[in-house]
Amino acid sequence: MSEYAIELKGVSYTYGKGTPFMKLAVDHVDLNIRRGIITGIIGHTGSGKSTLLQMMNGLLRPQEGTVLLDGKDVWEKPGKIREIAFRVGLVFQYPEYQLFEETVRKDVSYGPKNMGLSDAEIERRVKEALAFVGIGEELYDASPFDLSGGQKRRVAIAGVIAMEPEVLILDEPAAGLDPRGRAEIFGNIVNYKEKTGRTVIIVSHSMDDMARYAEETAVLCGGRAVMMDETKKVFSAGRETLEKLGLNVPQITLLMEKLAQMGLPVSKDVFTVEEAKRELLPLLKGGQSDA
Amino acid sequence: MLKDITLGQFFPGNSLLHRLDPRTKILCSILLIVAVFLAKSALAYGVLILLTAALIIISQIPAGTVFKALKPLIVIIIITAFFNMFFTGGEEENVLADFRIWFLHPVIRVEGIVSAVKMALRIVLLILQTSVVLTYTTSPIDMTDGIERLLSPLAKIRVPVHTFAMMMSLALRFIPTLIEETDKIISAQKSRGADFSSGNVIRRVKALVPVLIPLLLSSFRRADDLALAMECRCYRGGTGRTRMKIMKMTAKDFLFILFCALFIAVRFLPMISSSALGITGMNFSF
Ligand SMILES: Nc1ncnc2c1ncn2[C@@H]1O[C@H](COP(=O)(O)OP(=O)(O)OP(=O)(O)O)[C@@H](O)[C@H]1O
Ligand SMILES: [Mg+2]
Repeated sequence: MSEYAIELKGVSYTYGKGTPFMKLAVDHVDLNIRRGIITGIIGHTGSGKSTLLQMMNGLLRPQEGTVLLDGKDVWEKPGKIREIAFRVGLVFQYPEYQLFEETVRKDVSYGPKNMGLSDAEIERRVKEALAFVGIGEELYDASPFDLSGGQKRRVAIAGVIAMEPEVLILDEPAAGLDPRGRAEIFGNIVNYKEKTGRTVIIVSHSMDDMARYAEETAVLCGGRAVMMDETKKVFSAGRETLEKLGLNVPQITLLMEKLAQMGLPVSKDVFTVEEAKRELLPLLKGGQSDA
Repeated sequence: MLKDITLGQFFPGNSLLHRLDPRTKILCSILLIVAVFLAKSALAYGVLILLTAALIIISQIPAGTVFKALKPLIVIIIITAFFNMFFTGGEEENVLADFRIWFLHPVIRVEGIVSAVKMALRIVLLILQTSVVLTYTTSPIDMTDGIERLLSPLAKIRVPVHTFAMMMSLALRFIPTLIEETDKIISAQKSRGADFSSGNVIRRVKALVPVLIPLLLSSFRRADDLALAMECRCYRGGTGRTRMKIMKMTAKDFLFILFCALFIAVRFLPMISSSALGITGMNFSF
């Protein structure tokens, strides 16, 4: 077993090759996705994140370079590419628009059915997957179209989890949800990772979510991978560097920066609310004793 | 994959043909079609070939691109030419080849070849001219606007011209969106293991259900949103609606129409003199 779940080696992809609308979406990207952790991918709009994801699960064939899954070239046997989709589960942006079955149960079992599993096994996986995303038994026979937006999203994610992929990839899993919905989805994902020990990749525009949930983070800019490191180290690169890449640091870091400017002795390398709390509480107590 | 299908052939540019009023271009296309059908003599065809070449040059569209418009019709052109070659009657002395296959007795005469060439030339000219004058140089939206304005007199006899034009432009507007959406849904279902390329016909049709249902739903959703958005902007059909881009025929439009109309008249001149000159195929003899 190789140390990395997925390795990208000099991968490139150009849309509409040979037409006036040619667009280089991914440009010689080298990335290693570590096994068993949550890796975040961030980048400005159009930086090639979704294209990169589709190459990871065999939907798009890289025009240059190779994608290794567990150390083996994904495109070694092009006839078997469908199996790669089972091993690397990709949840698209706004996956709720892909629901189509009459009941939640049927929709979630679509993937496992395509894998040719037995009915009992399908049933087990459907239950497990729906439990991971917090959909209760009472909704199993409801029409997916009668659910709320957040519930639909979670059913759609369960549809991929039910295939029990070695790597679960989620493209903007929390887009368009309210703060509570976001927290719930990310909570479900973290819980899934903890319980199964499987590899997870998340694409997000939210620096706050990344800082909080991703252990490692890759930064894409104009189709190139410009950074890949522990999340903390990526954000430590500083606001100027990130802004040049069309990104920003988490809100809480901006606040800490302001506080530091005002002369408070706080660290600027704070990226989550929990860390900020740890940093600020003693200060508050200290301030009180001063007064 | 689906994206590779080119819809419409509009080739953006800023040539004289691009700048003409869409109504002018629709009218001129009709005039040129009539001209091609009226052409009889070799001289007439020669003039039309020159005209077509001139139009291609004026349009500033690469000739290769223009000729691509012929590609889907090559088979039809060949079949038409083939039948014309064998099924045109003529003088016995003009027989070039004589086949006897079983009870069939196909004969190639000079007249047949001439008429085959004419027929093929006619189709080629028709396509090239309308492509250059209309489809390559007019955006689909301009085209529907033009059609609406040309047909607007019909509104007097209660033909819902505006409604049809609006439906047409909306449909055109949403075709690329729909294709993009289809692509996305196909990818998403593929990553859930959908298999669109194996099994018998029934299995393949069944495999499309997970694509068609979400597509249908999102089309309805889009239609709903669009209707709402239009109502929010007080859309009430064509009556009393003003336009941001007002179409205006200018001197160059009228001149161009006149120019194209001229070719219909020119048709008759060479017909009279052609037999005297002996240029037409009919007088061709061995
Ligand atoms: N099917 C397609 N055909 C042509 N060009 C495409 C296609 N999909 C994406 N592109 C282009 O490739 C580039 C990268 O797109 P991609 O969807 O990978 O970006 P992204 O990082 O996921 O953006 P976002 O954050 O908006 O989702 C963009 O410039 C986009 O316009
Ligand atoms: Mg994307």
